[in-house]
Amino acid sequence: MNEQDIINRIEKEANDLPIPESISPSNMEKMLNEKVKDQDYNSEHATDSIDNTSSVIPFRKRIGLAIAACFGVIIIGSGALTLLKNNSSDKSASDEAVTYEAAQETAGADEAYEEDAQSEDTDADDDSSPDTAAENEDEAKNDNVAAEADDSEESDNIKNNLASSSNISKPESYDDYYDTVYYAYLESSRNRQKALGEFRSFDAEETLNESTAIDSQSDSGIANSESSKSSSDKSYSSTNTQEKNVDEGDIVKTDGEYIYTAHGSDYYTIGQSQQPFITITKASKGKLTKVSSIPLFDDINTQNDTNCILNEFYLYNNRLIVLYGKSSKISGNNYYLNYESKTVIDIYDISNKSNIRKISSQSQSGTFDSSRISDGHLYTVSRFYIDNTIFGNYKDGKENLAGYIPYINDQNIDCDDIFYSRHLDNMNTFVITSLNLSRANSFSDAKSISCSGSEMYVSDNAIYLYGSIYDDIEKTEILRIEYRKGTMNIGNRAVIAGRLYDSFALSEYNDHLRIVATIPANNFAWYSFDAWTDAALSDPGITVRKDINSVYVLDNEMKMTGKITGLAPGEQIYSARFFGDIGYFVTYRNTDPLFSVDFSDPENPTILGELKIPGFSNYLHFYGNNTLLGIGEERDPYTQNLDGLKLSMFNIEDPTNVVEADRLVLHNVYYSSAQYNHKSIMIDPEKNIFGFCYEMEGYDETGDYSYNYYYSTFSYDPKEGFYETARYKINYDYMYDLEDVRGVFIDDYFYLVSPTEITSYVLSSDEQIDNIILN
Amino acid sequence: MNKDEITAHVLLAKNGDTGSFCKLYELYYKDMYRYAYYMLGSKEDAEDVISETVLDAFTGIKNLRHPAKFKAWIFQILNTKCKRQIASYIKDRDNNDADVPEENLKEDDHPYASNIDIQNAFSALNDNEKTIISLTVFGGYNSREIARFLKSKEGTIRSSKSRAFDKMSQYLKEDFA
Repeated sequence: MNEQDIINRIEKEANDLPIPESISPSNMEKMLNEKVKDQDYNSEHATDSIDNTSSVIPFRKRIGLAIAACFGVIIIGSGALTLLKNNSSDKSASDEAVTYEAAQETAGADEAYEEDAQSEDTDADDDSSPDTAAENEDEAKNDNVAAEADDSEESDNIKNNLASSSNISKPESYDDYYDTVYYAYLESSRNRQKALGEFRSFDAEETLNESTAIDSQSDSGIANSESSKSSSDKSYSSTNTQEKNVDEGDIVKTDGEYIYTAHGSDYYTIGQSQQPFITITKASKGKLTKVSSIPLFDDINTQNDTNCILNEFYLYNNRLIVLYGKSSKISGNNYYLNYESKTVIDIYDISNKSNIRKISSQSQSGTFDSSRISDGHLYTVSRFYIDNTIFGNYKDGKENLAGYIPYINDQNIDCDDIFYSRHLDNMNTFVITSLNLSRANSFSDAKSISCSGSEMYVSDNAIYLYGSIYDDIEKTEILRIEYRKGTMNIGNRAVIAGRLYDSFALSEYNDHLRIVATIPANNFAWYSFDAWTDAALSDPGITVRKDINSVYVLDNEMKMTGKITGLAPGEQIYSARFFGDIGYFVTYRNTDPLFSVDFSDPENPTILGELKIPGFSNYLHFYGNNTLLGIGEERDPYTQNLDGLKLSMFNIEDPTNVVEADRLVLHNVYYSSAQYNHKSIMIDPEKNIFGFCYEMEGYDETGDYSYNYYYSTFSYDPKEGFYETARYKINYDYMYDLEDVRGVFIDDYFYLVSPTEITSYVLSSDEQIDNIILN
Repeated sequence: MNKDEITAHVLLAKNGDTGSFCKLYELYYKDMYRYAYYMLGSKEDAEDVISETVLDAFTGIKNLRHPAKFKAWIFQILNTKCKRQIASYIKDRDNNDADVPEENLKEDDHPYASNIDIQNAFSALNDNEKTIISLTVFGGYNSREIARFLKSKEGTIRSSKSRAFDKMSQYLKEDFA
């Protein structure tokens, strides 16, 4: 019986299942309508806003130089796309001028959908005549000649680039910002109206009057993480971070004397489930003593707050910093406005373990996204949704600041701190704050940025917000925010072709950002463009239906200085790591090529070497002087069958000739959190130890197929290779994710920490010392 | 309904239009029910999680960033609800549907299934494999999409899937022997 037979049988069986009437669409609609009524939702309000969508007031002021400014995106994006649609097989596509014109045309075509801005009157009829492309272009030019010039300059760059950089815009007032988001909303709504007929997406670029200058010089650290701290005679593990000097929050931390663990980090519904808490356990030579338990969310208002979620915590100089999200009911007659989400940062003084005091509580609008600690400051990013239901009525909406202006500690964020990029149609706004941890009395700085970012990479000098933009093609928008001692400067943004597999795909070094990206196969236009620039010229035989990989180098202004494209067609990037001038990344299809790239000349990155081995690595870590550890999957190069979890040690002494010095395969292991969450790995190359947990499955002695969960620690000897020093069984009870298990070492003792218990062992041995249940 | 119409309805639903929301729901609710039923093995619980999913999806739709991904998104919510329901089975041993050994499954437990073989074979899978198979069959997703959905890697999904099919195939073979 093959797979398809089984699928057919399940389908057949399932199709015989009667679908209960209770869940029919009409019953569900009834239920929702009642719910909406319950919530005091003003349905007329909604209808209004829908009608209004046809009355469009263009935001020409803000579009301004959009036509020219958008060429980066357009040339790469719709420009190339248009070109391909018109003339997909024509190799003249390689003529750059043609593409540039096509981009102009496309921009113009999009502009044609812009209707005239008559007034703020939302009752404007939907028949106002569309401007011609030419008119719009003219007006754009008139609007800002200087910027136009800028754009032309940029267009020259773009001819050679796969990425575009441009500035971030800034409103003059809340009203101005309201207009921006309002018009962006109308624009996306109008696209929606068009959707039923001819759907056209708006692809014009917003630019700004001025961007905040970035002038501070940066001294780059080494993009390598060492995850252990040593103080005189004490050594202990710390959270495995991407950057050495940038700490990342987690659910387990140690200061070498105590182990701090978060419990109940799942969704907490007020009054319905157990309140989350953090325990402090003294770990003395393996002996475990619970000294304290800190109940979290102690200032919950049971009347209004509905639920909380513990995100992560930090230890910093006798301070415990807890980040959590909270949803609360707020008053208001609008259904959607009935709830607001906040990210809360609570700081506790833990210098006296028997008297832990909360010393500060700060909050910012939006759900938690990411955080880091660097140079003594906590940087927190949350995601705030502009409530588009307020746009139902232009004037009322404008007065409803809560719907579009984020709060910082219950105060509207200062207008000077609001920025936006072109992708406003998602109504996504990121709130970034910095908090000086030695004072911690209030935020040092706060910014609000409307853009497509969602992930964060933090170097020693800058925060990079990045996120995918899905139009017809997949691109990544990257925004640079320089930080220094808690002050943040919004820099430029760039749009590159392709997607980043995670934050390890980015690395800043010597004032340059290095990026490795995969351009997915279904992005026909992107690949063709890429092919047009590079690959197709040299190898017209490459089919376009293949993933392709690129390396980019951008400077601090987010202008591209160098690139390599057309790498490893048909493969995807699975992991990357950068050390100084050299970057390594792994792509995979049948075998695992490990590429080494020399970035010492930012204008001319070069591939130094390529090593092909079966399987691939999901995670790379520099281990000792000239060795690179890879954790990933072992695959049969012919059948692609998964053979187990693989550890590889690469000798990188000569980057032009990387060799796999040793490998260890854990058979019957098909899942390990080490492959997906770097924080779940305990690693200290200096102490020559690393460990992680995994699931092992197979038939046991009784013939039953069973799943077992282990945490193993390993060492590496240059002569002997890998060896597993200990294997600990995890009492996994299905009530938490395996991903929440952590290993911690303090001196010569190992502590296996799960959300429910801590067990201590002699390091690198199975000898158990103690066990403590924590909830 | 084509992609653009879906986008249009999502945008209307974001504005609180229950009609549009239910038009979208109509496209997927049968597969959603089958998915829930297979994951939970109970008609009542499947109905409950569907209702909860609809409520959560409607209130949360304004957070849906990419309208074209409505289906994946609502399945994601459904999957979370099912997972929670399964966790509660495990917690509450009196209602232990998720871990019922196959030989204890009788026709009474599955009044709607004329032939319980395939469901028994299915119930022999672990939760992860059940999820992957259900997403394949009812969600119509390929390994890559499931990998993104479950925040896992494509290779892992592919191998789990083939192991799951092997197990089911083995089970069905034995059953017929």
